[in-house]
Amino acid sequence: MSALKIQNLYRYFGNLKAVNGVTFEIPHGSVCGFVGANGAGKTTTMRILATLDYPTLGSAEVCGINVVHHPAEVRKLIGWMPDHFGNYEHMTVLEYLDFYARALGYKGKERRQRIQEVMDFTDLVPLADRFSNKLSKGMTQRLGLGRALLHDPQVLIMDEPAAGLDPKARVELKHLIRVLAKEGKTIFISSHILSELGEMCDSLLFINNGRIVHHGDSETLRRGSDTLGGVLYDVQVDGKPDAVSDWCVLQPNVEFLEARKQGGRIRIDTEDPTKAADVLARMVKDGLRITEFHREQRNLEDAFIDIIGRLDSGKPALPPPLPEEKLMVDG
Amino acid sequence: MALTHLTDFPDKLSPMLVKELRQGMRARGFTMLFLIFQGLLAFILLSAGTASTSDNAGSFASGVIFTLFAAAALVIQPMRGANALSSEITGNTIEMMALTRLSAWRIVFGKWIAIVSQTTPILITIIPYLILRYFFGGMVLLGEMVFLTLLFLTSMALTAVMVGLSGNSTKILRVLPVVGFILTLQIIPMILFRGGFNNFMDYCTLSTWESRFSILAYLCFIAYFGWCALSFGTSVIAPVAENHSTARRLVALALTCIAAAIGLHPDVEYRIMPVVFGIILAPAVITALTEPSIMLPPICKPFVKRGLPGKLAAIFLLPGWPAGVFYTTLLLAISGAGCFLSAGPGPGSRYDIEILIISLSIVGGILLPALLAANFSKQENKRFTNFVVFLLVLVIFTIIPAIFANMNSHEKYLWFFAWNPLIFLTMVEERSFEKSQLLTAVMVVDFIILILLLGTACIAYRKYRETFDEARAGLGSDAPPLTSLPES
Repeated sequence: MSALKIQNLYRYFGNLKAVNGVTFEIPHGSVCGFVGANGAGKTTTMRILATLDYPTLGSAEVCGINVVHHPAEVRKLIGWMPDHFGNYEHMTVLEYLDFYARALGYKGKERRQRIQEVMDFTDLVPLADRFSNKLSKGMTQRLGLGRALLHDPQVLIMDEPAAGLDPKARVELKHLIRVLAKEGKTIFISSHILSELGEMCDSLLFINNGRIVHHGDSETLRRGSDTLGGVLYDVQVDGKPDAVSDWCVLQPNVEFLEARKQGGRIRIDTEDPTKAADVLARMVKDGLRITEFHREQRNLEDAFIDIIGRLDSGKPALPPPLPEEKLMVDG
Repeated sequence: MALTHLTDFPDKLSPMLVKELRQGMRARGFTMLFLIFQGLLAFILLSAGTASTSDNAGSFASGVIFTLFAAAALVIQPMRGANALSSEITGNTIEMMALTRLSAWRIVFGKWIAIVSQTTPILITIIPYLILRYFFGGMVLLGEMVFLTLLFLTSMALTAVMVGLSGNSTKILRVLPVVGFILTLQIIPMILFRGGFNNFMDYCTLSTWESRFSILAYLCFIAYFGWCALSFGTSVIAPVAENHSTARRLVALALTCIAAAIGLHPDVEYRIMPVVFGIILAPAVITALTEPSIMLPPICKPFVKRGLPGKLAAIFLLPGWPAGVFYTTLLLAISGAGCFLSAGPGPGSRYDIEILIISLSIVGGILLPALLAANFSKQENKRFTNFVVFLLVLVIFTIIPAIFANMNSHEKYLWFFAWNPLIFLTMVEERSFEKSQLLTAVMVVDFIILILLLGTACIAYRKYRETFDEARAGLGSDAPPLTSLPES
């Protein structure tokens, strides 16, 4: 059984298709990054999983429990950390956590113990008597994480937790997430900072216009294969830089991507290293004076842009649109 | 780190109450109110003490004490509830709470009880001043204590109304009651100092059956109104898969049936029946006609489970305005029958044509904004706001033509506004109109509005069919898929 399972999920707000046929599964104990531009459907998907919104159509399950049919059970299993949450006036950090611990049903000694554990974990002890609405962004995020962890949830859903944090706070947050991952919690996290997600996530989900466009691990994306169907190489030559692009025009399995100072970036449409050797040999045979030829490790931002770019050109198949008669009455 | 100071409130107290008290007691609003209140009371008692030789010093002191308490309890404290829920919604904290074990009702109730519990110290601190005032003479002890209690209970109900309305995202709905409270603030001293206080005392001494019954009826009314308001607030903040509407409708339905049954008793004054039905129906009907029509399988499930009776009950009791229209029609039918039977059917009927016109005018005045809101509300959660706005427009279209017609003595022009049922409220006051004509006209207008509303509701209700099918498919399965889905 997966920790999170979404099947053909649709969420329409009037004519706006916020989530448009999303399907994915995340296994227990894994950390999954959820990547997409603003308005791509990340928050809506996460809110449905957190039982805060409902699907127009489709199903969403947390640990096998349907979020629409059994929201109360799901809430016991999840910790939700939204991208923005307000804090209360005239309430200290300690009182804030105490309120949520009470609201979660903890009583007496157990409640105080749980608060203590969470404050120790999130390093909130020095801030215990500070008013919760007077904290910095980083402190607020730690407080939010502490609140989300109070009932020791199996699954943690975090929407843009690193947004607006300074580098130090980011490092601290990343550390906390790593520790939680080691404890075996399933973490579903969205972020704009792909490099950070790549470091801590077992898998990455790319969403665009309400549809999942990629689900895989960051290493595959960095190597430049998978959905792109090829491998990227940086080629430098001695002589005319245009020689590389001119040469690529005549080659069936090689695509010239962009010009660089002394050559360019090319894609060879196979992962087979012997084919790359063949391409290199042909280049040399055709008179190119190669000074550098190496496989490129792309960063995740490039991978994301590439995938979106390919989508825009209409290459991958897309899920069918929701039939109009299936739409529920909704604002 | 020692967490000992987290034991300041016992576990048995509601978490919401603990939170609100911690915040509220530190808030400047409460502290300032409390201090100003105490300062003013002390000053007035001293002033009254120096003037204690005069005969009316005691009643003057009472008037001032009650005016101050009424201002604090009926105006300032309820106004503190104006942002109770909206601050949680805009602060994005309501969702955090929804994910805990706190139900929407407990959140709203906690907000309300916290404000009420802050009114309590104000009430308690008034008692020493009343004891001092006793020595000035002329005090009606029982009457003043009952009056004080009634003020406190009214404060509780008004606070409930404010907390209930505070969940609305539109400011207009939160500002309107505040304007009303500010006006009340000016009216209170006028009522209490111009003989009103003595009138209240006559009732509050509970010396007659009439006064006892009136106070009991008043208590029932404020309790029902307060409960309706809190229940409405609960519906606003509750997750869409929760149903808080059916219970509210069942209570109003039961009360309507009870009132209709009581109305059959020959000793019951038949003229009071429309008022009684109006009080019961107003909150129930307005909320039913303006509920969002978002339908999810978990809401339908309890109805589907009960087979045909459940399906029939769903027509009236399912949350959402489409079923709300059918429910309203049912309540109006019961109330109409209740009034008719109370007045005595047949040729010897005692019914008053003016009361009938006024009642039908008010009914139409509620149905027309509901019809407009049903057809012109793009966002489901704005339906109630739109209803209020349309109602205000109708009120304006009633007042302005009436003033214009009166100024020019052209009352007949009011017929141009007969599409607005509220205009009959002014027309019924004019002698130039035939009452039977007005009755026919208001009945026709109401009938057309009701038919259009029912038609709109029927179309909207048909869209629930698929959700019903999904709920039926989900019966017996623990975590069923929502529906058969298109393959991606």
